[in-house]
Amino acid sequence: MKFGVRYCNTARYTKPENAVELVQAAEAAGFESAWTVDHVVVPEGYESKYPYTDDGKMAGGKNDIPLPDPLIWMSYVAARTEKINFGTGILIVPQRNPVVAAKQIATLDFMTGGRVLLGIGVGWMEEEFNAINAPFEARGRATDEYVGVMRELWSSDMPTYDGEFFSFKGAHMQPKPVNGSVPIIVGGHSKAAARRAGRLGDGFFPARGVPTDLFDLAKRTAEEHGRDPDAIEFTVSMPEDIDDLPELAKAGVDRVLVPIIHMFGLKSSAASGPGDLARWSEIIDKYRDL
Amino acid sequence: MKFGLRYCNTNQYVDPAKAVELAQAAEEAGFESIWTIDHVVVPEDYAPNYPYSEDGRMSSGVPSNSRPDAIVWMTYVAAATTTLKLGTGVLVLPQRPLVVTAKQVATLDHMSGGRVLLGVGVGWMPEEFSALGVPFERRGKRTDEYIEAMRELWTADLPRYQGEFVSFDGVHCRPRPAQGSVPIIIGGHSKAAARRAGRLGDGFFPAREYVLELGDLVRRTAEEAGRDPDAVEIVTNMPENPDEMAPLAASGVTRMMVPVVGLAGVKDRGIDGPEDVLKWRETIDRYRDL
Repeated sequence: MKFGVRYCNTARYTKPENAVELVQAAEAAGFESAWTVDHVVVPEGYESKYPYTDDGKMAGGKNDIPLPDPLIWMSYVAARTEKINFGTGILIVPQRNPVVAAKQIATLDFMTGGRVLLGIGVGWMEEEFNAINAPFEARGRATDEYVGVMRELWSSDMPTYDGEFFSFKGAHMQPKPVNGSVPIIVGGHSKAAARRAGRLGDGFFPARGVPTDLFDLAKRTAEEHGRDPDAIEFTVSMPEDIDDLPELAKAGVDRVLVPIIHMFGLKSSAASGPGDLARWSEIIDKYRDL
Repeated sequence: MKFGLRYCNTNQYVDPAKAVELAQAAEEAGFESIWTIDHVVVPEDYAPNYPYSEDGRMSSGVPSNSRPDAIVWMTYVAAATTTLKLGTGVLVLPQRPLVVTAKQVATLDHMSGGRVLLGVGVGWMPEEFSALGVPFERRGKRTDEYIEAMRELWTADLPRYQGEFVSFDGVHCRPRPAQGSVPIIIGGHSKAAARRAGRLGDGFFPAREYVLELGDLVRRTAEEAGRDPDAVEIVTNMPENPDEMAPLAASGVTRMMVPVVGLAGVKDRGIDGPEDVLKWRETIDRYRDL
């Protein structure tokens, strides 16, 4: 079992020194990864419903909170750490230009010695897409294509792509990710997300709970597409009760993420600060080989 | 007189350890800033229109050279330095998605404690624009709009912008730059660039030797636009003979750029590695008050 910390680029960890202190503490405690959130802008008065709270608002309804760009936040903190991985949980892929995103993610992976995990989502806030001039209606299709674009740019010596949204021929892009590509973990608590994970993901991360039916759907879809279902890694939120971990492992979970702030709509045990992370080293050691 | 190092995210400094070594040496030697270049991708068959070489090719005609993303590279290096400013020289602004770029630049400025200088250019390679899905035509107009929209996102309480290429109405984009806004330095060796600098820039950086007429054009345009011409900083390349700095300073130049690759203009103080950067300390000290 791998342990990550999540929501790392929020609240007081939006400040650079707090961020570095947090992730260095996580690294020292044996956490495998640190995860970030992504909203480029938050439109005032948005009406789209946030899928993970009852009232459909995120951050308790506050809109003017700082949400540092995850790739930039990760680059800064990565430079001050040695081995901990950095994940986006998640990056709203169809809101980004995939060619620029591919270059930035590859650069970050190269500079950190291969420590990037790319969690992706299709997004839910139409008003944010509109402000960015990104395709909301086509966001599922765009996500599939953008993943293809990024993998082509990462892995090919002479990247060439002919798609609905992006086309290029022999577009050199260096540096490449250290391991030839960056693992793509599909986030989202829906059948569509599970199917996408099965079709093209290296992992699946439902945002809430341990939905074994969605795990099964991801595996089944992988098989239907001639892929190895066991190659899809499952990440979930840390359960309320630590004793549930063996059961989670049996259900196929490979990684649990511990929130570093109290998160609305999420019950599980949170770490209350960098000092609090040290106590996790015992838990991590105990369940590491699970 | 301030001194900057340019081409810093190229050649051996693509490597993160070397990049940090270079930046720390620059800080120690008294350089005020280090500067990066930007090409997201370089299509194999690009037409030889590079304006700064005889044959129209860049980097000796090798399109597959490694060019880490300028913003990510600067962020990584920012985490390992304390006072050194970090500039793009230049970022091809119109080929990046504007809102995401504004967020990333603001995040870097926030994380680095206000150390960002944003050099921008309009670009020259249509094949690269095409790969990024952005029209090459009207890139000047697009650049003007992007500059205005970026400043709106950085400084307004509830940013709004209605343009031809970008529109948003009441969005929160936090964190904001630590400097309040990020200085925008217009790059380019043309009358159009000089006029843009006069109209919109906090600075002007002609890519090659300083031409007095362009500097005059910057000042004249600034005056015509009702702006203070002294508020537009002039940046130029370091002349081979340091004695030539005095007349340049008298004509309004406030920053000299020293290349970290190639020896153009710096015969006896050429930089072959980070250790050579320290040789500049004496020159910098001597001409600092120019």
